[in-house]
Formats: sequence, structure tokens, C-alpha cells
Amino acid sequence: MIKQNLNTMGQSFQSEIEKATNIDEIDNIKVKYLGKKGKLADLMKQLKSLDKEEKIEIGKQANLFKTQFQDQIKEKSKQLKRVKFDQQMENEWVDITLDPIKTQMGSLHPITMVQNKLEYIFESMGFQVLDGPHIESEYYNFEALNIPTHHPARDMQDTFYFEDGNLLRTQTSTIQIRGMESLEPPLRIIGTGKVFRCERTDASHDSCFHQLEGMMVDKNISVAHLIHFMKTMLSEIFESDVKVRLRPGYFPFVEPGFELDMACLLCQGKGCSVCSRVGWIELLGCGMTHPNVLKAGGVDPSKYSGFAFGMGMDRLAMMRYGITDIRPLHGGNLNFMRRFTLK
Amino acid sequence: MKISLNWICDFIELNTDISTKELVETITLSVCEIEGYQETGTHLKNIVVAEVLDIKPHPKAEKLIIVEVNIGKSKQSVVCGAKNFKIGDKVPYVAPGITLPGNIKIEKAEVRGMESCGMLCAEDELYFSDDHSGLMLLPQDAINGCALDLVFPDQVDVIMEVDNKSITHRPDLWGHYGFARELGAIYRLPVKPLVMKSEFLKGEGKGIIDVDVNCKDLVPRFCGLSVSNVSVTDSPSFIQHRLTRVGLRPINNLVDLTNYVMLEYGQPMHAFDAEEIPGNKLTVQIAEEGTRLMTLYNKEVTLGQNDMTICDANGASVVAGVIGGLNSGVNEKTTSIFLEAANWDPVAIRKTSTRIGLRTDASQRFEKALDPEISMLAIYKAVKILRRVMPDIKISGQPVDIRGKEIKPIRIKTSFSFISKRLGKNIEEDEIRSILTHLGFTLKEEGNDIYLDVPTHRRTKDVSIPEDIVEEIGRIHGFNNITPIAPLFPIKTPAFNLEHQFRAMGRTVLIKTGFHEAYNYPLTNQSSEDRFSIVPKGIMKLLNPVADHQVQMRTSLLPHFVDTIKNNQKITLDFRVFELGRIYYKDSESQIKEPHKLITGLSKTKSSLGDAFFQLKSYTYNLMIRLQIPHIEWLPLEDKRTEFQHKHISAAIYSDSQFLGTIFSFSPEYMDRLNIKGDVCIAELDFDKMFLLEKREFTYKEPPKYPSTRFEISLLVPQRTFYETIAELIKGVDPLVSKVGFLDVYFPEEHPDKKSLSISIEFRSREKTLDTETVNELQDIVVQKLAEADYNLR
Ligand SMILES: [Zn+2]
Repeated sequence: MIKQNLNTMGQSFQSEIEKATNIDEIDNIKVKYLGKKGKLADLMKQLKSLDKEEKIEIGKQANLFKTQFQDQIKEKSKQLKRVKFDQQMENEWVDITLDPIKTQMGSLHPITMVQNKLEYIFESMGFQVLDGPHIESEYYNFEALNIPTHHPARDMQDTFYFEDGNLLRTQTSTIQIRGMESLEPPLRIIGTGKVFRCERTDASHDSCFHQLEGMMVDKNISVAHLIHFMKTMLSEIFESDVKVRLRPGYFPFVEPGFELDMACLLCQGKGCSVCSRVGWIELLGCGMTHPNVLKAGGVDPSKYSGFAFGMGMDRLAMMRYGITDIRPLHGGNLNFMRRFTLK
Repeated sequence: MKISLNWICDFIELNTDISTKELVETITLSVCEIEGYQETGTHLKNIVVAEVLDIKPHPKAEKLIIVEVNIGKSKQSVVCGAKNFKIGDKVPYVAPGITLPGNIKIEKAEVRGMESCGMLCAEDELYFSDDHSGLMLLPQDAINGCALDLVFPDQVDVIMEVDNKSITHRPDLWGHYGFARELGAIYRLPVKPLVMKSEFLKGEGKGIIDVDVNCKDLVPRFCGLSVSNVSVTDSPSFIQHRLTRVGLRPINNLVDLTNYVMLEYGQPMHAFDAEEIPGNKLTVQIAEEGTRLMTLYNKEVTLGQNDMTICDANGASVVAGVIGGLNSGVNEKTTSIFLEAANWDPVAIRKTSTRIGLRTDASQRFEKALDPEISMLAIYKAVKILRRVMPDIKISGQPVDIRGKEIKPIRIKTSFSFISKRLGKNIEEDEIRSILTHLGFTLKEEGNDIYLDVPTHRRTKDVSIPEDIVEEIGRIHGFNNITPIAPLFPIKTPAFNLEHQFRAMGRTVLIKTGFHEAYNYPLTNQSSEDRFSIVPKGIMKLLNPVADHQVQMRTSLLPHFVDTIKNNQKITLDFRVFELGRIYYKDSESQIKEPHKLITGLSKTKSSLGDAFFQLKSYTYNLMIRLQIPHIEWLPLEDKRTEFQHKHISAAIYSDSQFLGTIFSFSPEYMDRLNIKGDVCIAELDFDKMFLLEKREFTYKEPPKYPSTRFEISLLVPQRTFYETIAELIKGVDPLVSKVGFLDVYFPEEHPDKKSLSISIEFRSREKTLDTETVNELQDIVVQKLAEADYNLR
């Protein structure tokens, strides 16, 4: 009788668990069969009335059922949970193309970007980055740079003067003298920053612009070194192998002095609209440091020689980012600045 | 300055294999910058000489005529409007099918019923001059049908545009001869020497004009010559055409003559009308203060004690080296002239020309320090040309030749090895000798050493040291023929510029939180600064500003920055900007200071009170933490407040006790006055001061071993109580108070002047877990201390 009940219980459990479709039902089945007052517990209570042998046999059978029920419940609930979570996930949909939090990214000024890059390149080549005042004395801006009193570069129409005789530096070359004064050769220095000229403003001229100046002083530095260095430096800046040419150029602080042209990167020197069909782009001034300049910096020109170079960063930035007018570089217009945010 | 290749070739025979492009590039790479060039006269091979055979009126048009011409092989009939010619004259003819410069295509046409085959040309149509008054009349001996490029071979030319700036240091390149000399050195070709037969300039009797030079230290040389029996006419066409090609307008034979010589040698000249010199004497002297002179351009100039003049008995008649007076030159009636070719002190000329605001062809040359040795050569050349055109001219007396300040000879000692070492390439000794000789240097060798005498045309300005010789050899040899060599340097890391790195870090942090970097002009004016009542102390004022808004250095970043904010509010109300730049002033000890300042600004649409302030405060805090600024504090501005700053929505920013800057919104009055919209907050920080602060270092601390106990309280306090005051009070209660934090604030309706402040408090010991009893006790003490200060639980 009990044995038969046991078998019936087994069958009904099988059919119920198979029919179950959600976790709640499984919980109910668990209580119904395995709970403290469940069917299996009931049956165990009835065992007392049986004789010893039967007790053992049925008890064994009942225990077997218990493990079997537990395993089946575990398996079934795992299966149903998966279905449930799959369903939940299926229902959870968001529009990932939205950006409701709006990440705001700012921007560096294009000159800052160019300056950072240049300083990085030069530091990695062992150059020391120096700073200098914008308000300078005639000595640092002119005299020490071998620009005598009546040189055209000193004309009132080029230089902003102050009432006290000081001036706004017209070139970052001032850094050459300050560098030589504070460091011992051999030396490698650059200086970047604002320079000023009293010019009327137009699309390519501004009263305030930005330059980079560099200098290398050691024993036996030659024009061949200068050319090699310029090529390497410009290849780094423009991230491609550039072709350069030197032609005579006059700057009082160098002798010989050069204008350096770079083969147009667009047409490789053949001539296109970007380089005004010349094939070459006038990029910077450079030369072998004039002995008077070395002397002014406290360096003995009979022992050392060096080269120096200077270039406009505004032009570099304009070339690099395709800016056609120099004027928006100042003023901080959002429409301009936002162009320098990577989106 | 324009230069003509044909003119250069008057002195040198160039190899005809050299293409124009190649030649221009060679000059650019070895001499000076050629900005562009133009091949002229190529169209002339399509234009032929035509003889006028017959002139008939046009039957239907009064203003037109029909001209029959002989063009050698055939006769043609052309309808024409000009009337300046007669039968037998020779004129230029263009056949149908030919295209003239300017894309003018000549076609067979019917002009008012009469067939016209081709065209007869005026000078302007053929680019000889800008004359369009009639047909160009060709020389009588021109052969009918001959192409015009053969009749006028000099017109087939290359005109090069020299960048004047690239020859500022080269007085010898302001005339064609200098270019011939350079090409001679480059191609190692002979150049016709400048020689003079002095007998040629000796005349009869006494000179008409006497000359006195009173300021000899400013006049290296003054040459002059009296020439009579001249007449004023047009120049020979050859001279007119050359002048026209290089951009000078022909005037008359005498003016053209002086211009021609100037363009050839670089030496400016002046032709006086010898009969119009009162007193028959010229005196070179410093002008008296206030001397007035009417110039050739009909513009009056006032001269001073630094200006040189050439005077006659009536006073100043020429501004020396710059411009002639209105009546000093020649006119149609002139029959005798005094030719002057002087050499003036370059600095004096420069100063005068700057002061009177006149830069002429002459002053532009004199200020380059010309070679005094060419002055007499120029007169010689002028007389030679004059005599060719007017064989009957008479020279009166001896040439005037007064020498003043001496230009000292320069001898440079250098060596073959120095030149090669400095260039970084071994240059053959023979090449060095050859280059220097072609450029006019005289060499003396002693072993490896070279002693060089600098020629007079290079002595006045640019050649004086061995490095100058390196340049001469380098440029003629070709700098681009030097193989690049990597400099040898020991491997050594440079001393990094920590200030630059600090500023770069600041910028990076800011852009990551949405700030855009602006640059504003360091130059400003007082009214811009006045808007913020910036203390006018130590302002650096410009002596020579060019624009009204840029007359002095900014002493604050704020004024321009506010404009940046205002202007950008026209685009949007929501943005963040910053500027990291210098301000400039003189301190109390008259030392010029240029500290770096940072200004940040946040603009947004208005929502709750202080919203922009709290946002910017958070970004500023974030920045300062990243820059490792220790102990940041935000305190009321109080006496540091300026009028434009909001009384309550503003704070002073400190690190320890160092004042670093302020953060503020504008006062309502200033919001209105500056016309700023929305909610705006600005922070100004002294970046240099921040750089100098001893930075917080990252040090690791073991996480606490024992748990903390946290409790929260809500206090009802007067509205204008600073949270920080209460937090400080709680922190001071017991060392076991490990943390005090702000949770929430709200303004209960039932207590209009109070606010409810929720605060969390943490207790923790480093030695043990706190028991309930201790915690309760601590809580009680906190509440009690708060109550004592009148901060009661809600
Ligand atoms: Zn190109």
C-alpha cells in the first residue's frame, strides 16, 4: 500500500515538474513534495507502522526519491531562470545612438598644440626649453644680436617701444643670448612664445604672433650639420621625409645666413596652387651664429661655433590645420575653438 | 626692383644653353630672392614691319581710314583709326590668325562695309610703352616684312623681380652691373670691367658751377660735371624701352639718363639746370632747423639739423640723397646741366627719409651704403651716353671730385681650412681662389692662410670677417651641394622645463573637463581695463602704438576675457573657456613683471542660484588637485572683493595661507552693465604662485583596520551659516571624529530664515573597534556642542 503510494507520488512529481513553466510553480512543487509537511515527509511518518524489512526497503526508496526530486527541481529552476532572464534581457532595449549625458571635451589653442609638439620633438632631441620675457631691453633684442643702432630692423615702424626705453621683443632670438648666458657650451636650446611687431593687421599679419627659436653651440659646428639638423627636425614636424634647400638670407645675428625652403609636400616640388606654383615653401630663417653674438653670450668664437634658426608658429599651425586667416587666432571665438575638438 | 637679363648681358656673355628657369633658380640660390620673372617680347616674332603705301578715307566712317601697306611678300589693306603717320612711314602689322598678348585675337573683319585684313599697332599694344596716341612708328631703315623681334632684339628679354628685402645688405646689387658680377663668379665667366678714361671728362675753361661740401664727415664723395650745349628731347627709343621694361616711366633724355645710370650701377644721380643755380655755386650743408623746401612731387617738407641739403644762393634746393627741389631739375628750355653723383652717409639719409616720410629710389639705395668709387664712373657713363646721342655737347672745366669721410680698406685673414671646416665640406683651394677673384677680392696667400682685400663695392657694409668669406664661398659653390652631416653629441637628457610642463598639465586637465583655450591680445587700452577698475599702477604704455585699442600692456586677463564670454554668448549660453597667459606691469621697485595667470570662465543658462559657481568651483578644485596644490580653501572674499564681484557668490582661493586667486560671479549691476546673460562664473588663479608652492606628494597609507561608525544629523540653522563653520566645529569635538560630510540642504517653508542642513559624521579609532557606548557618548557630545553654538537638531 505504502509502496504503491510512493510510486504514485513519483509519477505525479514527474508530471508536475514537467508541466511547470515558471519559478513560482517550482517553489510550490518543492514545498508540496519536499517541504516539512510535504508528501515525502507524510510518507515517512507512515513508515513507523511497517515492519523492519519493509521499513528499510521503502526508506531506501524514499531517500532515492528525495535526491532525485532535489536534483530535478534544481535543474528545472535553472532552466526556467534562464528563460526568465533571457526574456527580461529581450525586453530591455536602449537607443545606444543617443548621447544624453553629453560628454564635453574642450580644446587646446592651435598654437599651443603646435608649440607642445615642437617642444616635445626638441626635448627628445636633447634640447632645453627656455623662456624669456616679452618686454625686453634693446640690448637683448638688438644689440647683443648684432643689430646695430641704425639697422633697418630697429625702425620705429617695426618695433613697439615703451616710454622707459624697453620694447616688446620682435623675435624669440633674445633667447639665444639668455641661453648662452645661463648655460655652458656645448648647448642645445629652444625658446617659444609671443613676439610683437607694429604692423597693421590683415589675413596673414598680426601685431602679435608666435615664434620658435633654436640654437646649437659646440666645437666645429658646420653648415653641413645645420642642413642635416633642419632636415631631421622638419621631417619630424611634418611627419614625412622632407626635402629642403638653403638660399642666402640676411639676418644680422648669423653669418652665413639662410632662408630655408621646404619642397611643397603636396606637389613634391613640382608646383601647385598651395605653393604658388614655385614648388617650394619659404619656411624659416637660419644660419651659423655670428661671432659677435657668441661673444655677447659669453662664448668664445675661436673655440666654438653654432647655428640658430627661427620660425613662425602661426604659419606652421595655419599650414597644419588649414587655417586661412591669422586673425581668429586671437579673441577666443567658440566657432573657431570648437574646430580643434576631436569629435 | 626689376632687372633685365639683356641689360645684365651688356657686361657678360652667358652660355645660351642656360634656360631662364635655371638662371632664375641659380640667382635665387646663390645671390638673392627672385620673386618672379616674365619673358617679354616673345610676341614680336609674329609682328612684321609694314610700309604705308596709301591712305584713303573710309567711305562710310569719317573717323576711319583705309591704309594700304607693303609687308614684304604682299600688300594688305587695313582699316585704321590713327592718323599720326604718312605715306612712306613704317608701322607694325599683325596678320589675321595671330594672338597678341592679353589674349587679343586678330581676325579678318569687315569694318563698316570695308574689309580689313589684320591690324596696325600702337606702342601699348606691343608692350613697348603705355602710349596709345597713335601707331608706333618704326625706324625708316627697317626692312618690309621683317619680324619685329629682329628690329628690336632688346625687347626679347627676361624681366626678373628682385625681393628688395633680400638685398638690404648688398649695396652692390642695386644696379644691373652687380648681377653681372655675381653671374660671372657663378659661371666663372669674364665680366666687362668698369674702367674710365679720365681725359674724356676734361673740358675747356672753367667749370660753370663751384661746389663746397661743409659736412664732409657725412659725405664720403661728391662728384659733379658741367655740361653745356645740350637740349631736352625724348630719349632714344632703346633707352625708353629699357626703362619701361624695368618699370620706370621715360620722362626726357636728361632725367632718363640719370635713371638709366642709376639702374646700371646703383648710383643715383641728379641733373641740375646749370643756368638755374643762383650764384653758380652749390653748397652741401646741414639744414637749418625749420628749412622748408618744395620737392619735385609738389610736396613741401620741413627739414631739421640732421638733414643734409644742397643749397644755392637762394637756399636749399635739394634734400641730399632723397629728393630734388621743384626748381632744381631740368626743363624744356635747359641747355646746360650740372650732373651730380654723390655718396652720402647711409644713416643720415635713412634718418632724413624716415623723418620726412619719403622713400625714393635714391634714398633706398644710399641707405644701403653705396660704394663711393662708382660715383665718378657714373658720371663717365652718363657723359658717354649723352655724347652718343648729342655729339656736340661741351664739357666745361674739370670734374668736381670732393672726398669726405674715408671708407677704410678692409683686409681679412682667413684660411682654406677654416672655410672648409665651417662649411662642413672640403672645397678645393683653386675653387676658393677662383670664386673670390671673380667677386673682386684680391688674395695673398701664406701657406694655408689667406689675406683678402675686400673690394670697394663690398667694403661699405657686409664683408668684414672670415665668416663673411665662408658665406661667399658657400653660396657660389652652392649650399645645396653640401652633404648633410649629423652633429655628434653626447647622449644626455636635457634639463626639462618644469614650468612649461606644469602649464601644459593645467591645460590638459582643463580641456578634459570641457574648457576651450582662448588667446587674447596682450595689448589693450585703458578704457578696456577701466571697466573693471583695475588699479592703474605700473602700466607699461607703448611709445608708438599703431591702433587705439592696443596702446598698453594688459595688467589683467579679465577685460578681454569678459569680451570673449560676451561674444560667445551670441553663439550659445553653455560653454567653458580659459586663457593661460601673461600680464605685465612694473612693481613698486620699477621691476617689470610678467607673471602667468589662469582665467577660467563658465557660462550656462540660469537654473538654481550659484549653479555656475558650484560647477566652476568643482572644475577648479579638480584642476588644483591634479596640480598637487596642498590644502585648498575657499573663503569669503571680504576685503579682497572688488566692485564687479558678487558680494556673496564669490570666494578667495587659498592654499595653506597663500592667496592664489578668486572665483566669482558678477554683481547684478555689472551683469547688467557688461550685458552678460545667463549664469556666469569666473575664476582667476596665479599660475606662477601655484608652480612655486610645495606640492602635495602621493604617499600610501594603510587602509584603516577597524570599521567606522557613521551617523547622520539634520540641523536647523540660520540661512547664512557656512557649512564649513559647522563642519570645523564638529571636527574639533574629538580626535575620534574621522570624517564630516555634507549631505543635503533645503529651505523649509515654515522657517523662512532658516535652512535644514544634513550632515554625516564618522567616528573611527586606529586602535580598536569602537563600542556602542563610546559611539553614543560621542554622538551626545557632538549634539551638545552644536547646541551650545545654537545649531539645533531639527
Ligand atoms: Zn605645391
